[in-house]
Amino acid sequence: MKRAEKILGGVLLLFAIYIGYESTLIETGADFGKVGAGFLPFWLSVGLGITSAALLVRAIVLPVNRFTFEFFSDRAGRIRVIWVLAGYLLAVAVMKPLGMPISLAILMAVTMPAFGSRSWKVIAFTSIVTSVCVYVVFGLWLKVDLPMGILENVLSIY
Amino acid sequence: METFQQLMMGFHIAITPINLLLCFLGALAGTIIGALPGIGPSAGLAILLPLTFGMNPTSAMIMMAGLYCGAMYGGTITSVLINVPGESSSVMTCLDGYQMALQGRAGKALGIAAIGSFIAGTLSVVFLMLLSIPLVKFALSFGPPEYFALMLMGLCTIAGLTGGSVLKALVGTFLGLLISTPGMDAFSGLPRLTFGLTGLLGGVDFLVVAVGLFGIGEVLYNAEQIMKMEFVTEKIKIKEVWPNRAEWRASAMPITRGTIIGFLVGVLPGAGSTIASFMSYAAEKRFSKHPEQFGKGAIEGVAGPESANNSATGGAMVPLLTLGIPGSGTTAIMLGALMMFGLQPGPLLFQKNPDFVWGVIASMYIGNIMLLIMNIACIPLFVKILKIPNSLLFPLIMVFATVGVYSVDGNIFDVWMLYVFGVMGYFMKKFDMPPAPVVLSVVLGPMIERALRQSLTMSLGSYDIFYTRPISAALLLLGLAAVLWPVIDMFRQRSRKRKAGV
Repeated sequence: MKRAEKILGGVLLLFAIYIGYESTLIETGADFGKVGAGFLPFWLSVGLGITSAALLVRAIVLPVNRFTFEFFSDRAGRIRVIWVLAGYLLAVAVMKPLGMPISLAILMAVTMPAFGSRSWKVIAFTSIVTSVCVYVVFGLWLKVDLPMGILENVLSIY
Repeated sequence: METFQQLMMGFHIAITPINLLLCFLGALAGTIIGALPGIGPSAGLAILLPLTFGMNPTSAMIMMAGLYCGAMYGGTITSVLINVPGESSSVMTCLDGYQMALQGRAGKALGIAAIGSFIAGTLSVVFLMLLSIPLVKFALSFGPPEYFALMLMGLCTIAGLTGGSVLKALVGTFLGLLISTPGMDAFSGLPRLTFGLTGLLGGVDFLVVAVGLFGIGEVLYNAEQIMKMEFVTEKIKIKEVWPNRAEWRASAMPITRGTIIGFLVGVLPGAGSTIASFMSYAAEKRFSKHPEQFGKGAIEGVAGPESANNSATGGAMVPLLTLGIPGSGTTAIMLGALMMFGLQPGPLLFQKNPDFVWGVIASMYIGNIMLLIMNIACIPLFVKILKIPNSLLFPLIMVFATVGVYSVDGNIFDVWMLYVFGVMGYFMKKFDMPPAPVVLSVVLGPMIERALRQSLTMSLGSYDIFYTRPISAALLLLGLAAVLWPVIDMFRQRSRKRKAGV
C-alpha cells in the first residue's frame, strides 16, 4: 500500500502541474477586479499540487507498518474487478454501433458471472429482460432518445 | 403563526395523491437501498435521480426526501439481522442490535429503532422549521463575499469532519473543484480546460460525477470483496416489535439525546449522520448506569444512534434549504437536482418558491409516519428483498446508472465520463479517500467561482473584501478551524499518550 500511495501522490502531482500549465495559457490575472478564466483553475492546481506533494512525502517518509494492507487483498478479487471493468468498457464502446439495449444486455451478461452467477440460462434471460425493460421504460415511456444502433430500423422509440 | 400557515400550505401540497404516492415510493426505495449493504443513500439517490426528470420539482424533491429518510431507517434492518450495516450511519447499531437479535430480541431492536427514528425524524423537522426562518432572514443580508466565505467554510468543514485523513479529503476537494472548471467560462465566454473535447464544452455534469463515484465505484469495490450475507434465523424473532414499559423507560432519554445530537451534528457541513450515531453511542455509554452492558445487547445502544442518524437528516436539510449549501454527499446530490430543475437554492427559495419548500417540509412529516408503519409492519418483506443476489443487484445498478446518466443530455460522451469517474470512485475507495468532498466541490464549484469573481469585481481586485467584512471573516476563520481541528486533535492525543506512557 505504501507503494500505491506513492504512485497516487506522484500521479496527482503531475496532474496538478499539467492543469496549472494549461491554466497559464488562459488569462489568469485578477487585476482591478477583472478575473481571468484561468484564475481559479490555476490556484486550484496550486492547491492540488501542494496537497498531493504532501501525500507523496507522507508516503515516502512514513514506515511501511503504518500502511496496513495490500492494495489488492486477493488475486480473485483483482480479476473480478478487471473483468467488470473490461465488460463495462466493451458495453460503452459498442453502445453507438449496436445500440443501447444490446450494449446493456452485453453488460449484464458479462458482469453477472463476475458477481457469482453461473447459470447461462439465468444470465441470458436476465440480460434480455433487462434490455427490453430499458427500451420500454426509457425509450417508449420516458421518451429518452436512446441510441438504437443496428436496431434503429427494427425498433422505433417514437 | 406565519410558519404554521406556511406549513398548512405545505401539507395541502404534500397530501395530493401523486405526492403521497411519490413520498411512499421514495420511502420504500430508500428503506430497501438503506438495507442493502454496498449501496448508500448517496448512490441510491444518484442512480434514481433520472427517474424524477419528468416530474415537477416539488414532487421530485418529495420523493428524494422520502428516499433520504428511508435510507436511514433501512440501514437498521441488516445491522440487526445479519450484523452488516446497510449504510455507514448504522455501524453503531450492529454492536447492540445484533446481540439483541442473538438473544431473540430482534423484533424489539427493530421496533425501538423504528420508533426512535420516527420521534427523532419528526422532531428534527420541527427544529428545521423553527431554525429555517431566522436563518433565512439572516442570510438575506449576505453578499457575494459572505457567500464565498460560507461555501469555502462548507468545503473546509466537510474536509475536516468527514472522517479519515484530512489531507486526502483536501485532495478530493481540490479535485472536485477542478472537475467543475472545464467548459465555457460564464464571464468571458471562452472555453477552458476542454482539451479539444467538444463534450467538455458544456462542463462536467454533477450527476455523472456522483453516479460514477458513488454508484459505479461502489459496484467495482463490491466486485472485489464479494460479500456473503448469512441470516442468523434460528434465534431471531421479529414478531414482538413493540417495546415494553421497562424498555420504553430505558430508551426515552437515549432517543431524546440522540435527537438533539443528531440535529446539531446534521446542521454542520460534513459531519452527517455517521458521526452523529457515533457521538450518540458514546454519549449513551457515558450516561448509562450499566456501561458494561453496551455491546452485549443494551437497548440504549440501538435507540440512541438510530435516533441520531435520523435526526441528522432534518439537520442536514437546514443549510441546504436556507443557504443552498449542502452538508453531505447526499444533500449535494439534492442540491444539484434542485439546480437541474431550475430552482436557485438559498434564502430566496423561501420567498420565491414557498410552495416547494413547505411542500417538502410537510412531506417529511408524512414520510416519517409512512416509514414508521412500513418499518414495523413490513420487516419480513424487507428481509426477503435483502435476499436478492449480488449477481443480479450490482449489474442492474450499472445498467440503471448508465441509462440514467445518458438520459440527462442524450450524450454518449457522458457515459464515457461515467466510466472514468467509476474507475476514479473505485480507486478513491481503495485509497480511503471520501467521495463526498469531491461531489460537494463539483456542485459548489461554479457557485464559488461566481461569488469569488463577483466579490473581486466589487473590490476592484482587492482581497481585503473577504476579511474586512465581519460575517465573511468569521466564516473563513470557522473554515480554517475546521481544517486545523483534526491536526490539533491529533497532536493533543499524541501528547496525552506520551504523558500516559511516562
